[in-house]
Amino acid sequence: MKERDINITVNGRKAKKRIESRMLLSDFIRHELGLTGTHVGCENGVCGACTVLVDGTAVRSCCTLAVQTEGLQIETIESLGRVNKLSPLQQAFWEKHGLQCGFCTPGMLMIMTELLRENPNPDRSEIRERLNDNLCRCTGYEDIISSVERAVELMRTEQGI
Amino acid sequence: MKPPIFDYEQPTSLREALDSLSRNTGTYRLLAGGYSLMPLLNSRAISPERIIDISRLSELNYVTGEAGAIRIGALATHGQIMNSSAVIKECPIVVEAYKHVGNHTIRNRGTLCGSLCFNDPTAEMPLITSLLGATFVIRSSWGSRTLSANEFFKGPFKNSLMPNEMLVEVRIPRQQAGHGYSFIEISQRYGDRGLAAAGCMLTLKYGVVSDVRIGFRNLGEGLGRVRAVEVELENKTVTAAVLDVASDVARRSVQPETDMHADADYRRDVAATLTKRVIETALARAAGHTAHTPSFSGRLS
Repeated sequence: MKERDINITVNGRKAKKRIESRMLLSDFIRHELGLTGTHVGCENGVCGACTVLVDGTAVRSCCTLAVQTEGLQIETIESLGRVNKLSPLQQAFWEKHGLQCGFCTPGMLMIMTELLRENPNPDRSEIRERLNDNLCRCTGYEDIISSVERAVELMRTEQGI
Repeated sequence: MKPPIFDYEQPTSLREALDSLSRNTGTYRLLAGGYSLMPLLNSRAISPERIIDISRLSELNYVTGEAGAIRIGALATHGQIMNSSAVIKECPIVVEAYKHVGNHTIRNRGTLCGSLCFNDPTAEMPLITSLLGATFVIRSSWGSRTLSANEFFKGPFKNSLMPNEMLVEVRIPRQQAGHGYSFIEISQRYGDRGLAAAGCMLTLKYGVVSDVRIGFRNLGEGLGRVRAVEVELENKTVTAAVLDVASDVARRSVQPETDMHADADYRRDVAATLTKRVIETALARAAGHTAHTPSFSGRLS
């Protein structure tokens, strides 16, 4: 079939659409749902800017067909926080200058969201290892690592640890 | 770019998938994790008429270890495999090589069998499965057959699957307890595609090595295990002189090409150097000088 009906849950909201089978998950999120926080960089699986969480695991949405995620739960950058109420990870990126142009940031935040759920207290080398997934052409990465370390502190404060 | 138009099928059982493969209706590609296939579709390097999405065949999603032998289903992801207790215990070289396979996000969805079928010359797992003596279980709607790594892999980006056939399982036989192993890959930056790689497995008894397996990746067309180097070590005590000979044979056995990243002479030098290093590391591990279980975190030295 060249077209297909899909039902997927994005950021807790159910979406039901008829789409072309060849539509990429990144395009589905941006064009069909209007969630333009997910950025498309290389569309080749290299840069990681388009990373979203599918059933809790980080996935490159440009290398995934939307029809493959039928029935699954998607989380995008829009699920993290809002301008007037940033999530700890977003707050930390702001405080520690973890971004400059911001193009790679949605992907960075999503891979780090996955990391912090798996391991709420990663050390610098674990953050660095995970950062291997995504490209940033501005920061030189050091500030991103510091941001994630800061996010760990903020989350621990929030939880009263 | 965007993928070309195709017919999409999402079979719900292996039987249904195999029947779909045997239907003679134009070109098709199987889709599992998608990290090899989707970039080709996005760049329109290929335009198959049908995409058969096997990612929902949960019957193929397993990594099991029974009596030391390990069976890996077509849908087992790299991440599942490198975290499997059977793999960590029985074949630590797999875990060591996985440091170089893609990155965490890719290992989340990319499958071992998909990567083996794709057979990218820089991919690590074709060499690792060769060293481990793995067998490849292939099914079609009218039967099954089993191939060795040597029979399965053809030149770069080629395998010996016939139309209608699918790789459903990789079986890793029981390895010698306490064997030594090492896998080393050279790349321009950590995490980049490999320029060259070498792997070694061996058993050490009373100072003599046996069951020596050495192979290379990205150093010549379809290179897996290299017998000429292995025989220089088999049933010998490894001295500096033996190492020098093995390393020299490796230099002459590989047939690397020159490309924009490195010339052939440099790659030959790398082959010779890596040969020494993998043998020394495997020997040290066999002798119990270093921990047997590799750790995954941390950067390469």
